[in-house]
Amino acid sequence: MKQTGPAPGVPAPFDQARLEALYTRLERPVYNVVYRWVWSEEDAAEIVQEAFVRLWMMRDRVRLETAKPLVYRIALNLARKRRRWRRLRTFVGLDEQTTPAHAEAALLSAERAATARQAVESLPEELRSVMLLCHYSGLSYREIGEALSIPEGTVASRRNTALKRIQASLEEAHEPHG
Amino acid sequence: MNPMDDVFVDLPPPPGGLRRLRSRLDRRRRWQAPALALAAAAVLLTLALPPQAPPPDLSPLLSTPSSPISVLPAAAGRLAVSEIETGTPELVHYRVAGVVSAPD
Repeated sequence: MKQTGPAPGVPAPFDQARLEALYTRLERPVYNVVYRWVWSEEDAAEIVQEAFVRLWMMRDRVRLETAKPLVYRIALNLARKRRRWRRLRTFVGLDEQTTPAHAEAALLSAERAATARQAVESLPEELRSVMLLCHYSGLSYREIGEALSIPEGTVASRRNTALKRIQASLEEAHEPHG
Repeated sequence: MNPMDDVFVDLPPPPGGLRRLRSRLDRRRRWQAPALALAAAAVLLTLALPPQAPPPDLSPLLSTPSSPISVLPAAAGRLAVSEIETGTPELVHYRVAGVVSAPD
Protein backbone atom coordinates (compact mmCIF):
# COMPACT_ATOMS: atom_id res chain seq x y z
CA MET A 1 0.00 0.00 0.00
CA LYS A 2 1.31 3.41 -0.90
CA GLN A 3 2.00 5.71 2.07
CA THR A 4 0.82 9.26 1.47
CA GLY A 5 1.70 11.11 4.67
CA PRO A 6 4.58 11.09 7.11
CA ALA A 7 4.89 8.11 9.44
CA PRO A 8 3.19 8.48 12.84
CA GLY A 9 5.34 10.51 15.20
CA VAL A 10 7.42 11.97 12.37
CA PRO A 11 6.82 15.73 11.95
CA ALA A 12 5.51 16.79 8.54
CA PRO A 13 8.17 18.40 6.34
CA PHE A 14 7.88 22.17 6.13
CA ASP A 15 7.83 22.70 2.39
CA GLN A 16 6.66 25.69 0.39
CA ALA A 17 3.21 24.24 -0.23
CA ARG A 18 2.64 24.02 3.53
CA LEU A 19 3.96 27.53 4.05
CA GLU A 20 1.58 28.83 1.42
CA ALA A 21 -1.34 26.95 2.99
CA LEU A 22 -0.46 28.48 6.36
CA TYR A 23 -0.18 31.91 4.75
CA THR A 24 -3.58 31.61 3.14
CA ARG A 25 -5.08 30.67 6.50
CA LEU A 26 -3.29 33.29 8.62
CA GLU A 27 -2.81 36.26 6.33
CA ARG A 28 -6.04 37.99 7.31
CA PRO A 29 -5.91 37.54 11.12
CA VAL A 30 -2.20 38.41 11.29
CA TYR A 31 -2.88 41.48 9.13
CA ASN A 32 -5.66 42.61 11.45
CA VAL A 33 -3.44 42.28 14.53
CA VAL A 34 -0.50 44.04 12.92
CA TYR A 35 -2.64 46.80 11.40
CA ARG A 36 -3.69 47.86 14.90
CA TRP A 37 -0.03 48.40 15.77
CA VAL A 38 1.15 50.30 12.74
CA TRP A 39 -2.13 51.81 11.47
CA SER A 40 -0.91 51.63 7.91
CA GLU A 41 -2.29 49.27 5.28
CA GLU A 42 1.03 49.18 3.41
CA ASP A 43 3.20 48.60 6.49
CA ALA A 44 0.87 45.93 7.87
CA ALA A 45 0.84 44.00 4.57
CA GLU A 46 4.63 44.25 4.32
CA ILE A 47 5.08 42.98 7.90
CA VAL A 48 2.82 39.98 7.27
CA GLN A 49 4.94 39.07 4.25
CA GLU A 50 8.20 39.54 6.15
CA ALA A 51 6.96 37.37 9.03
CA PHE A 52 6.32 34.48 6.65
CA VAL A 53 9.65 34.93 4.87
CA ARG A 54 11.38 34.73 8.26
CA LEU A 55 9.38 31.65 9.15
CA TRP A 56 10.53 30.11 5.86
CA MET A 57 14.15 30.88 6.72
CA MET A 58 13.69 29.08 10.05
CA ARG A 59 11.88 26.08 8.54
CA ASP A 60 14.56 23.56 9.48
CA ARG A 61 14.07 24.36 13.16
CA VAL A 62 10.28 24.80 13.15
CA ARG A 63 7.56 22.21 13.46
CA LEU A 64 4.46 22.90 11.46
CA GLU A 65 2.25 22.34 14.51
CA THR A 66 3.97 25.14 16.46
CA ALA A 67 4.36 27.52 13.54
CA LYS A 68 1.16 29.46 14.18
CA PRO A 69 2.11 31.12 17.51
CA LEU A 70 5.56 31.69 16.06
CA VAL A 71 4.17 33.64 13.09
CA TYR A 72 2.31 35.94 15.49
CA ARG A 73 5.39 36.34 17.64
CA ILE A 74 7.54 37.33 14.66
CA ALA A 75 4.86 39.62 13.26
CA LEU A 76 4.35 41.40 16.59
CA ASN A 77 8.08 41.97 17.01
CA LEU A 78 8.29 43.41 13.52
CA ALA A 79 5.22 45.57 14.15
CA ARG A 80 6.68 46.95 17.39
CA LYS A 81 9.90 47.89 15.64
CA ARG A 82 8.08 49.46 12.70
CA ARG A 83 5.81 51.42 15.04
CA ARG A 84 8.76 52.85 16.98
CA TRP A 85 10.54 53.72 13.75
CA ARG A 86 7.42 55.44 12.39
CA ARG A 87 6.90 57.41 15.58
CA LEU A 88 10.49 58.58 15.48
CA ARG A 89 10.17 59.64 11.84
CA THR A 90 6.88 61.42 12.54
CA PHE A 91 8.46 63.14 15.57
CA VAL A 92 11.33 64.54 13.52
CA GLY A 93 8.97 65.49 10.70
CA LEU A 94 10.07 62.91 8.10
CA ASP A 95 6.68 61.14 8.03
CA GLU A 96 3.12 62.34 8.24
CA GLN A 97 0.43 60.72 10.36
CA THR A 98 -0.85 57.53 8.74
CA THR A 99 -4.28 57.51 7.14
CA PRO A 100 -6.87 54.76 7.74
CA ALA A 101 -6.79 51.71 5.45
CA HIS A 102 -9.14 51.88 2.49
CA ALA A 103 -11.17 49.01 3.86
CA GLU A 104 -11.44 50.65 7.28
CA ALA A 105 -12.54 53.91 5.70
CA ALA A 106 -15.15 52.03 3.67
CA LEU A 107 -16.55 50.26 6.73
CA LEU A 108 -16.50 53.06 9.29
CA SER A 109 -17.01 56.78 9.20
CA ALA A 110 -13.88 58.82 9.87
CA GLU A 111 -15.18 59.73 13.32
CA ARG A 112 -15.95 56.16 14.35
CA ALA A 113 -12.63 54.91 12.98
CA ALA A 114 -10.79 57.61 14.93
CA THR A 115 -12.64 56.73 18.15
CA ALA A 116 -11.87 53.03 17.75
CA ARG A 117 -8.24 53.77 16.99
CA GLN A 118 -7.94 56.04 20.01
CA ALA A 119 -9.41 53.33 22.24
CA VAL A 120 -6.83 50.77 21.04
CA GLU A 121 -4.03 53.33 21.28
CA SER A 122 -4.98 54.01 24.89
CA LEU A 123 -3.81 50.50 25.80
CA PRO A 124 -0.23 49.81 26.82
CA GLU A 125 1.61 47.41 24.52
CA GLU A 126 1.32 44.34 26.76
CA LEU A 127 -2.48 44.67 27.02
CA ARG A 128 -2.93 45.50 23.37
CA SER A 129 -1.02 42.45 22.12
CA VAL A 130 -3.03 40.10 24.36
CA MET A 131 -6.35 41.66 23.41
CA LEU A 132 -5.67 41.57 19.68
CA LEU A 133 -4.36 38.01 19.72
CA CYS A 134 -7.34 36.84 21.77
CA HIS A 135 -9.73 38.42 19.31
CA TYR A 136 -8.17 37.70 15.92
CA SER A 137 -5.69 34.84 16.13
CA GLY A 138 -7.87 31.93 17.23
CA LEU A 139 -4.97 30.79 19.40
CA SER A 140 -5.63 29.23 22.79
CA TYR A 141 -4.56 31.08 25.95
CA ARG A 142 -1.65 28.65 26.20
CA GLU A 143 -0.51 29.40 22.64
CA ILE A 144 -0.87 33.15 23.18
CA GLY A 145 1.21 32.75 26.30
CA GLU A 146 3.87 30.98 24.21
CA ALA A 147 3.78 33.66 21.55
CA LEU A 148 4.21 36.44 24.10
CA SER A 149 6.37 34.53 26.63
CA ILE A 150 3.89 35.03 29.47
CA PRO A 151 1.95 32.53 31.64
CA GLU A 152 -1.46 31.35 30.50
CA GLY A 153 -3.16 32.94 33.53
CA THR A 154 -1.63 36.31 32.71
CA VAL A 155 -3.18 36.13 29.25
CA ALA A 156 -6.65 35.83 30.73
CA SER A 157 -6.19 38.63 33.25
CA ARG A 158 -4.63 40.98 30.69
CA ARG A 159 -7.45 40.32 28.28
CA ASN A 160 -10.06 41.26 30.89
CA THR A 161 -8.16 44.40 31.88
CA ALA A 162 -7.77 45.41 28.22
CA LEU A 163 -11.46 44.99 27.46
CA LYS A 164 -12.46 47.02 30.53
CA ARG A 165 -10.11 49.82 29.52
CA ILE A 166 -11.36 49.80 25.94
CA GLN A 167 -14.95 49.95 27.18
CA ALA A 168 -14.12 52.87 29.47
CA SER A 169 -12.32 54.68 26.68
CA LEU A 170 -15.26 54.24 24.31
CA GLU A 171 -17.77 55.40 26.90
CA GLU A 172 -15.67 58.47 27.59
CA ALA A 173 -15.53 59.24 23.86
CA HIS A 174 -19.30 58.96 23.52
CA GLU A 175 -20.17 61.07 26.55
CA PRO A 176 -21.72 64.41 25.56
CA HIS A 177 -19.18 67.15 26.15
CA GLY A 178 -20.61 69.96 28.23
CA MET B 1 -23.56 49.19 15.77
CA ASN B 2 -21.87 48.58 19.11
CA PRO B 3 -18.78 50.83 19.47
CA MET B 4 -16.85 47.72 20.56
CA ASP B 5 -17.54 46.24 17.09
CA ASP B 6 -15.82 49.26 15.54
CA VAL B 7 -12.67 48.39 17.46
CA PHE B 8 -12.68 44.83 16.17
CA VAL B 9 -13.84 45.43 12.63
CA ASP B 10 -12.37 42.68 10.40
CA LEU B 11 -10.26 44.28 7.66
CA PRO B 12 -9.29 42.41 4.49
CA PRO B 13 -5.57 42.62 3.62
CA PRO B 14 -4.62 44.15 0.27
CA PRO B 15 -5.12 41.63 -2.56
CA GLY B 16 -2.26 39.63 -4.11
CA GLY B 17 -0.52 38.74 -0.84
CA LEU B 18 0.24 35.12 -1.77
CA ARG B 19 1.58 36.14 -5.18
CA ARG B 20 3.91 38.68 -3.54
CA LEU B 21 5.08 36.10 -1.00
CA ARG B 22 5.87 33.62 -3.80
CA SER B 23 7.87 36.18 -5.73
CA ARG B 24 9.80 37.14 -2.56
CA LEU B 25 10.67 33.50 -1.91
CA ASP B 26 11.69 33.07 -5.57
CA ARG B 27 13.91 36.15 -5.39
CA ARG B 28 15.57 34.79 -2.25
CA ARG B 29 16.14 31.44 -3.95
CA ARG B 30 17.65 33.11 -7.04
CA TRP B 31 20.32 35.04 -5.18
CA GLN B 32 20.80 32.45 -2.44
CA ALA B 33 22.23 29.78 -4.80
CA PRO B 34 25.01 31.99 -6.26
CA ALA B 35 25.79 33.37 -2.79
CA LEU B 36 26.14 29.86 -1.37
CA ALA B 37 28.31 28.80 -4.33
CA LEU B 38 30.53 31.84 -3.81
CA ALA B 39 30.90 31.10 -0.10
CA ALA B 40 31.71 27.44 -0.84
CA ALA B 41 34.32 28.50 -3.42
CA ALA B 42 35.92 30.85 -0.88
CA VAL B 43 36.12 28.04 1.69
CA LEU B 44 37.62 25.62 -0.86
CA LEU B 45 40.16 28.20 -1.97
CA THR B 46 41.20 28.83 1.63
CA LEU B 47 41.60 25.11 2.24
CA ALA B 48 43.52 24.57 -1.02
CA LEU B 49 46.14 27.24 -0.30
CA PRO B 50 49.39 25.80 1.17
CA PRO B 51 49.80 26.54 4.84
CA GLN B 52 52.06 29.49 5.42
CA ALA B 53 55.37 28.50 7.04
CA PRO B 54 56.14 30.34 10.27
CA PRO B 55 58.87 32.99 9.90
CA PRO B 56 62.36 31.79 10.92
CA ASP B 57 63.49 32.64 14.42
CA LEU B 58 66.26 35.19 14.03
CA SER B 59 66.69 35.97 17.71
CA PRO B 60 69.86 33.87 18.12
CA LEU B 61 71.49 35.95 15.38
CA LEU B 62 70.74 39.15 17.27
CA SER B 63 72.41 38.02 20.48
CA THR B 64 76.07 38.93 21.02
CA PRO B 65 78.30 35.88 20.49
CA SER B 66 79.99 34.78 23.70
CA SER B 67 83.34 34.24 21.95
CA PRO B 68 84.91 35.64 18.79
CA ILE B 69 84.09 33.76 15.63
CA SER B 70 87.00 31.71 14.44
CA VAL B 71 87.54 29.34 11.60
CA LEU B 72 88.51 25.85 12.58
CA PRO B 73 92.27 25.63 12.64
CA ALA B 74 92.11 22.46 10.63
CA ALA B 75 90.48 24.42 7.84
CA ALA B 76 93.03 27.24 7.87
CA GLY B 77 94.25 27.98 4.40
CA ARG B 78 91.36 26.10 2.83
CA LEU B 79 88.54 28.50 3.81
CA ALA B 80 88.12 32.21 3.17
CA VAL B 81 85.89 34.32 5.40
CA SER B 82 84.57 37.74 4.46
CA GLU B 83 82.31 40.07 6.48
CA ILE B 84 79.09 41.38 4.90
CA GLU B 85 77.58 44.71 6.02
CA THR B 86 74.02 44.36 7.28
CA GLY B 87 73.34 47.91 8.46
CA THR B 88 72.55 46.58 11.95
CA PRO B 89 75.44 46.85 14.38
CA GLU B 90 74.24 43.84 16.39
CA LEU B 91 74.06 41.62 13.32
CA VAL B 92 77.10 40.56 11.32
CA HIS B 93 77.00 38.17 8.38
CA TYR B 94 80.05 36.22 7.28
CA ARG B 95 80.45 34.56 3.94
CA VAL B 96 82.51 31.40 4.19
CA ALA B 97 83.82 29.81 1.03
CA GLY B 98 86.31 27.12 0.17
CA VAL B 99 89.62 28.25 -1.35
CA VAL B 100 90.44 26.74 -4.70
CA SER B 101 94.13 26.76 -5.32
CA ALA B 102 95.12 28.05 -8.72
CA PRO B 103 96.88 25.53 -11.01
CA ASP B 104 100.61 26.12 -11.42
